[in-house]
Amino acid sequence: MKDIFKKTQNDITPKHLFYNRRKILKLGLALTAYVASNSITSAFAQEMFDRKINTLEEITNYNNFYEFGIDKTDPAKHAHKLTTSPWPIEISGLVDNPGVYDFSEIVREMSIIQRTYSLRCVEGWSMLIPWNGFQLSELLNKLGVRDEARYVSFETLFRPQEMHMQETNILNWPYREGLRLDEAMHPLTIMATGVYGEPLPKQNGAPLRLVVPWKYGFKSIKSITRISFQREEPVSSWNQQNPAEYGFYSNVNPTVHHPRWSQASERYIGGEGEGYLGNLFTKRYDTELFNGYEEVAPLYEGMDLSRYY
Amino acid sequence: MYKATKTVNIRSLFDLVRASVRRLRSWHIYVSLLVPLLFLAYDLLSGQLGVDPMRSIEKSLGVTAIYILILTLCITPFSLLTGINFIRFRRAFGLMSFFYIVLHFSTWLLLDMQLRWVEIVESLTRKPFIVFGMMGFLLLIPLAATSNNYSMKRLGKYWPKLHKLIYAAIILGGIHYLMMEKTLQNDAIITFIIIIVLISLRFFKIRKINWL
Ligand code: HEM
Repeated sequence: MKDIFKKTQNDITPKHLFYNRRKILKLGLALTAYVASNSITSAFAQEMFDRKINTLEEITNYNNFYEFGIDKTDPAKHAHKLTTSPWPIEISGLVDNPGVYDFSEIVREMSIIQRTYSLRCVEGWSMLIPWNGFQLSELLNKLGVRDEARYVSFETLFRPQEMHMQETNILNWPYREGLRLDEAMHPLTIMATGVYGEPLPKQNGAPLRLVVPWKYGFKSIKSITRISFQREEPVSSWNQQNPAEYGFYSNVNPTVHHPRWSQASERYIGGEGEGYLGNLFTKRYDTELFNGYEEVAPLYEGMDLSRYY
Repeated sequence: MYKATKTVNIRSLFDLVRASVRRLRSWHIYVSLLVPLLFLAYDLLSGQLGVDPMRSIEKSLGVTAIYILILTLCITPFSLLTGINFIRFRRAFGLMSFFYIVLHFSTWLLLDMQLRWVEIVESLTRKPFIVFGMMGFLLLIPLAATSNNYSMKRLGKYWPKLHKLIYAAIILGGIHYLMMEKTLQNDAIITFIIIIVLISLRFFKIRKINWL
């Protein structure tokens, strides 16, 4: 496990480079090619976004992880209680190789890649995060998903002794999420095992979390302990809690109205200046359909996106 | 013997409080209610507002506003109960809570929405939690505007009637607080209960407690 993280440390996208975001979107295919070579070179990365990559401090102190509290500073305060090793992951359902595997066993088998993605929260803010991890498709191929499977569902750990909010009923625990299989197989969909070339901090969903950059952040379920393959559309926790506000798909879409937050634009957390005072003046950017990752559009061809939100 | 001493002590304590309240001037209240703003400024400058200071400021101003409004509602029952006349400070509390709401609203307009008018109009018309907050704010504007001696004289018997709007405003503020997150927050529930209790007190005749 250590080796993998060591190896990727050199490949890390440099901090504080300015990127033109639009370009990476067009380079979606190139990105896939880079997966093979296992790294995104910094020259390539520089072309990516027009805002800074968030600092580790920002990424680890502004989290929605309701298992540890509702406030975005709560996870940083409480997540240290989480035990992440051993970390058994139960694979079940319509798959050739079901069973319980430890996280370390799985990650050893995967090719680790770097991806800097925009994370767009449904609450109307966003960050740029340099993940490391592996493509979910690689794992699914190894597991041998059966043809009958149409969806994959994920569950977060349920352990109220370490995740105190699980003793309340603000959500129907454990947290659950799901994807259609073609979404799961898309090369942009990754399982993150770290940020900035280091293992995932606990408040970010250690040791293993989903990252689906064209969907609102809550789809990217954290600290996964169960993965199952099924025919029916899986339960997703926020959809269950409030179906009018959170759909199963939850693709980023500026034209789908939300009763609490404006989806037309997003406040990028991380200001122009340095430090805390610099972050006071966060800038709003127009939100783009699929969070700008337009190469996923074919997945939804012919679907009414305002109905399947 | 023992009983008598105790009574005297309570009475002298009470007299002391009454005497100090008598010496209080309105400007003491105005200045004291600026202290939360000073704390907020200090927290900002010392980096204690986290990676998203705008959101912390917006929230802190909202919470300060609603708690000063709550204090405003406490004044009448407190004065009736204790016989200490605090009512002359009601204006200071009311105006200071309005001041915090103006700052709260300005933070939203300038730093949060950044004057993006299309989204501002959309929020003010289609986001229920914003609509409730805005209604509360709008109701408080005539109250703030008539919180002066001249208006009190001009409005005469209508002045107390007009100022009953504070009950509606604070309930709207409380609902606004309840609705804002994806799930209910304990703080908002507790605040709302306090508001309901304070308003219910208006239906009871409060008698001065005989302290002796
Ligand atoms: C009677 C007037 C108002 C009161 C008493 C009030 C009070 C509050 C309170 C207590 C909070 C919660 C802070 C927290 O979550 O800790 C809050 C948040 C907020 N208020 Fe108000 N407010 C009022 C009017 C308004 C108005 C007019 C607007 C804008 C049009 C507004 C916009 C907001 C926003 C955007 C938040 C933050 C929501 C978030 O954190 O996502 N409020 N307010």
